[in-house]
Parts: sequence; structure tokens; C-alpha cells
Amino acid sequence: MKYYLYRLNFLTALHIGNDSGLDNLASAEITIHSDTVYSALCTEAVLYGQDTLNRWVDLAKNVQILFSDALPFRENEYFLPKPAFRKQSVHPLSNPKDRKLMKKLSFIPLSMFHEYLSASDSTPFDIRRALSLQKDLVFPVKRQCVAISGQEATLPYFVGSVYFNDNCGLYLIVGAETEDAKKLFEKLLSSLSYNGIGGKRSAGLGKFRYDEPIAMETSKDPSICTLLELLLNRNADYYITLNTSLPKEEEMEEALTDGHFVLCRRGGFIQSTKYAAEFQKKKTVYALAPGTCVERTYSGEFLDLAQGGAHPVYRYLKPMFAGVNV
Amino acid sequence: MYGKLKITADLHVLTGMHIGGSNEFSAIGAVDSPVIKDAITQQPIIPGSSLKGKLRTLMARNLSDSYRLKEPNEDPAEVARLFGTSKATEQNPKLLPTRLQFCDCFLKEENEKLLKEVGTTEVKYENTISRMCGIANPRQIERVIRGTIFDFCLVYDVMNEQEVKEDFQNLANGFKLLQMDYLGGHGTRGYGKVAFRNFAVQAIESCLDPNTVQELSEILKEVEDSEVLSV
Repeated sequence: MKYYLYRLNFLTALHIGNDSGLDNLASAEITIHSDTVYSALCTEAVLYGQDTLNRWVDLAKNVQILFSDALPFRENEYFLPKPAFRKQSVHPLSNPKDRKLMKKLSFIPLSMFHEYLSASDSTPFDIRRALSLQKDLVFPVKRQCVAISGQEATLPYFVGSVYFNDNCGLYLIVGAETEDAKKLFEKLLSSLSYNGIGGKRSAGLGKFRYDEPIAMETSKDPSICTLLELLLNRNADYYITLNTSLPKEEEMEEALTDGHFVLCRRGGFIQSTKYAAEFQKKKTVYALAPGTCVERTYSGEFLDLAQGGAHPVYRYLKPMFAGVNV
Repeated sequence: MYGKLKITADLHVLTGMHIGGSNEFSAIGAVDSPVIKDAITQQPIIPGSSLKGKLRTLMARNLSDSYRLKEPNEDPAEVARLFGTSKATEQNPKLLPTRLQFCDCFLKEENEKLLKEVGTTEVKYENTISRMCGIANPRQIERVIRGTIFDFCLVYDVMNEQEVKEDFQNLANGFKLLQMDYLGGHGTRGYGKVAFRNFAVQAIESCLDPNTVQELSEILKEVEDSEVLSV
């Protein structure tokens, strides 16, 4: 599998609802889960016709294409999800202030990733520096909107969104087995960039442009090389997921024994006009959030969540691992 | 066959425009009703949702057979197929995807430099004067000053080649109506007159031949001639 890195620069604010599913429209997350990215590209594939859609579904079924969550970057600093495992030295429990700070830390800067993993009592992890690097990546905004139907009284509602700071955006690591898979992905991504990703996209949000993808194998950028090393490490003590995944039922026990993980709720609507007579909610699934640490890798699910509708509804939960030696 | 057309234009603000923002933070002496602004540059924006809502309402009202508007899902077919529906109804028995993807409009770059000298917004003082006793109740309204130009961008998804021209004709009518109407609040008191200029249609992913794209562009250019107010 060849890996490419796409940097998405947002032209407008972005609305991604929170994982809890509560007060979703008014909330705003910074990152985009990999299954959301897959589904968003699926809705683009639908526009190109059944053939394109079938090809796109087959690519996912056969794991010919794989992507990370869309995670933040600032200039040349890439941020990785915070690994879920607990280490006494990294989590200095003796100092309540540091413990609070550690809780606030959502991402580990790639430049400090090894420092984070190898932290010990004598060389503690510099939480404050990590926090300062990810300060003001985005500016959250709660927009006041109003629905004027012309029939009833006007109905105000809030839409949460984030604006990315200058030189900040989201990056996607994409693993493609073949050149064809990469081409189809790029075609759909280009289409998606105009239509937008996330909520309220037809009302102005979620538009982006992306830079020329970085072929990670040939890149000389030291941070890209470090990232590629992590992705290719198949002889590791721990595997940390960079995306949202779920082991198959038969893999579950083996994968999660001695594993550390946080669950995240994956819900949302079925964005299809053909599935049913009105928009229906997708069957909720609890998946492993990025940053899950396991000792043994797993192949992951590709679920069909359709419940009596006209066509299958997929959720792509195959994992992308970064191998680390602790 | 599927395609994507990007429609761009310059959106000129002809009279002070007020699209309200949130005033959760109200410092003493701060303006009562601010306009919505970009979180980073603090310059005013026109949300895509305002444009979308206004255009849909005007087009539905124009094509509707009754004065009182129905639910958006029961809009006339020409409107519903452009803006989409979320529920099957008698009027539109099939769920329709949206063909229009609006975009928030930001200040045009060249005009940002110019306006930095005077600022992009003004605060207008208004009064409610009691008819009974003549007591004035003042209020301040922030508005985007006239002469401001925004970058307007709209993406149209070609889902049915036969309907493209008709859709563009309907869309052009919508823009014409908007030029005669207003954007934002206080329109009946003269706020929010806007005009679209320099329409351009660019085929991003297109199955349409260049001549058709040119024709579509001509259809939208007609909007520019029907501007009712030139300042």
C-alpha cells in the first residue's frame, strides 16, 4: 500500500457534530472521523452514477483504499490523536495541575510524539509546550440562524462551526493499493471540495481546497518520514489507530485484550434520496476512537447498516495503524 | 452523466445591509445589534444560509399559486428540484437531492484594502417614537456600508442535462427577484439592496459542451440588466 498525505485548507467554516449526539447542530468538532470521510465521498460517488459507486464500495470492501481521520496541521507540524494508554510518567498523577492539563491535550504534535512515548520520571513530557503548539488551531463560532417558513412563527436555532486559523487545516493520510484507487479517490475528493463536507454544506459551510498530495515514500520532509515509519512499522509493541475503527466480532476479544481504547458514538443521517421516503437516521454504532492502542492488529469491519431501505448503507471501519515501540 | 458548474459573481451592497450576528457578549457601550462577522478577520460576511433561504422563499413565492406559502417540502417542482426536499409530499412524491451548494460570501480582496480606511461597517442610530407621547426610544444598528463587494460563489450539480437550462432560467429569475427585494433585515426601511455583477459560469467536471456553458452564462448575465437601483 502506498501512502499519500492530503492537506485540506478550508475556505469557509466547518460544521462537524460532536460524538455524543447531544445538541449536535450547535456543537462543533475539529476533526473528521474517517468513516464520515468515506461516507461523504460515497455521496459524491452517487452523483457520478452506479458504476462509480460500485467501484468505490469495492475499493473499501477489499481494503484497496484506507484513510486516517482528518487531523489538524499547522504549517509543517502534524498532530496525532492522543494514544489512549496510560503511563505513570506521561500522566504525572502526583501533580493535579498537570493531570488537568493532560486531560485538555487532545493531540500529540508529531515532533513530540517520540518524547511522549519515551517519557520517564527523569525526562517528563512537556505538556505545556504540546498545548501551546495546538493553541488556536481553530476559532469556534456559534452562528445564530432562523428558520422562516412563512407559516408559523420564526424559529431560531444555532449552528456551531469552526474557522481554521491561518496556515492551519486538516490532513488526511490515504493508503492506496493501486493507482486506480488513488485516482478515483482524488476525483471524488475534488468533487467533494466544491460541494463541501460536514453539516450545512448546501448553506455555505465546509468548502475546502487541497494542496498537491505528498507522496510519503519519496518525501524528504523529516516529519513525513517519521509518519511513514510509524505507518510501516509492523514489528511494534503497540499499534495506535489513526482513524475510527471497529474489530470484527470474532477479532474483538483478541484485539482488545490488554488494549486501551475510548469508544465513540457513530450516528448521523442516511444522506440518500433513494433509501426511503424521508431522511432516516443511520443505525448507531459504537466504534474505537482514534488513539486506540492494541498489541495485536485487526482487520476491522465494513458494516452494512441498512434497515429495510432500498439499498445498503455502509460504514467503513477498517483501521489504520501506527506502530510504536514503548 | 454528471457535471458540476461553478457560478461566481460580485455581490455589490447598494444600501447599508444588516445580517444580524450574535450579541452574546454585550459590553457597556457596545452596539445593540451587530452584523455577522468572520471569526478570524472580523470583517462582515454574508452567510450562505441567508442567500439560500432568501432565494428559495422568493422563487417559491413567485411560482406559488397561493399568497400564503406552503412548507418548503411542498414547494413547486422547479424550486424543490433546485433546493432539495427532506420529506416526500403530495406535491413532490420523491425525495429530491439539492442541486445548489451555496457558499459563505467573504469580502472581495481588492475592496478590503480600500475599506480598511473607512471600515466596512457603520452604526446607524434609529428611533422608535411613541405616537402617544412622542418619547423616543433609540436603538443602534450596525450595517455593512454601501459600496462593499463580496465574492459570491455557488456550485450547481448537473443531475439532469435536459433541465439545466430551465434551472438556470429559474435561478436567474431568483437573482432578479433578490435584486428587487433585499438581503438581511430592515429591508422595508431601505436596507440590504444588493446587485450581482460579473457573472461567470465555469465547468468544473462537465459533460456539457462549452457552447451550452456559454449560453448558461448569458442567461445569468441578463440578471445584471434588471438591477432596479444603481448607486
